[in-house]
Amino acid sequence: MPFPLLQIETLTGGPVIVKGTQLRLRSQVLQLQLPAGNGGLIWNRPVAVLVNTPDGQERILPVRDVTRVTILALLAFSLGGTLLLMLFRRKTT
Amino acid sequence: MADLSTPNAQPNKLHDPTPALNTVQTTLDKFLAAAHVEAVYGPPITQGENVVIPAAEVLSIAGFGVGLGGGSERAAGAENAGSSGGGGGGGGGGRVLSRPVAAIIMSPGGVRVEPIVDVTKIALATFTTLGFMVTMLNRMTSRRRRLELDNS
Repeated sequence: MPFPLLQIETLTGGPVIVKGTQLRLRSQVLQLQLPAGNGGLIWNRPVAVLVNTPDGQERILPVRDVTRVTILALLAFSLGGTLLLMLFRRKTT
Repeated sequence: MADLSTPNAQPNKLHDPTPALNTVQTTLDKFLAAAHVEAVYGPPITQGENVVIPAAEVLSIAGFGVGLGGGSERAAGAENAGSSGGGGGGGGGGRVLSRPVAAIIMSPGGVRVEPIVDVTKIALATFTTLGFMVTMLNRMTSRRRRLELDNS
């Protein structure tokens, strides 16, 4: 089945039942197809877990990618810091 | 001239495209399997009273290409083509990258999500960031010194 050039969708898997607790695993998929249609990229990452306890409570637990958040924070810090330094030096000269 | 045609000849196995098509189909199936939820979450693992479900990020990249060509040789002045030929080929490649992100732990106390921190990756990113900042600082300082020398 052909898929569009760029597609982002959230998928929910079938329930996993362990000791009466039902888990539904959720992931987000990014599909990118090359314009010529001869290849592409699929990026799939976990986003959340839906928990249904036996007493009827429902919770959503987010899955956080700590490594990615830390690396993005470092990148923002380095770019922001360098820009600030450049601005500061330009003002002093 | 000897008749080279063989009416009961079997198809040439060298020109049978089925194995190549099967390989392409298998590769594409594997590539598209990365788009399922099952690709990200592993099967539940029971350890004592706890059940652990591993979660990972999956990045799948694939590309392929095919080419076909043909031609015929016609003798000068002849109405019919002399000989003709053709050929084709293709190739492709891909890569699947996977990285653990978290573990979903079900214990008697409840369900929790424990992040998996890649310390090596963070350390490498830190050193790269520091290197970038030091290089930029050095460049700015040397430029300023050069300007000061030029002015004096």
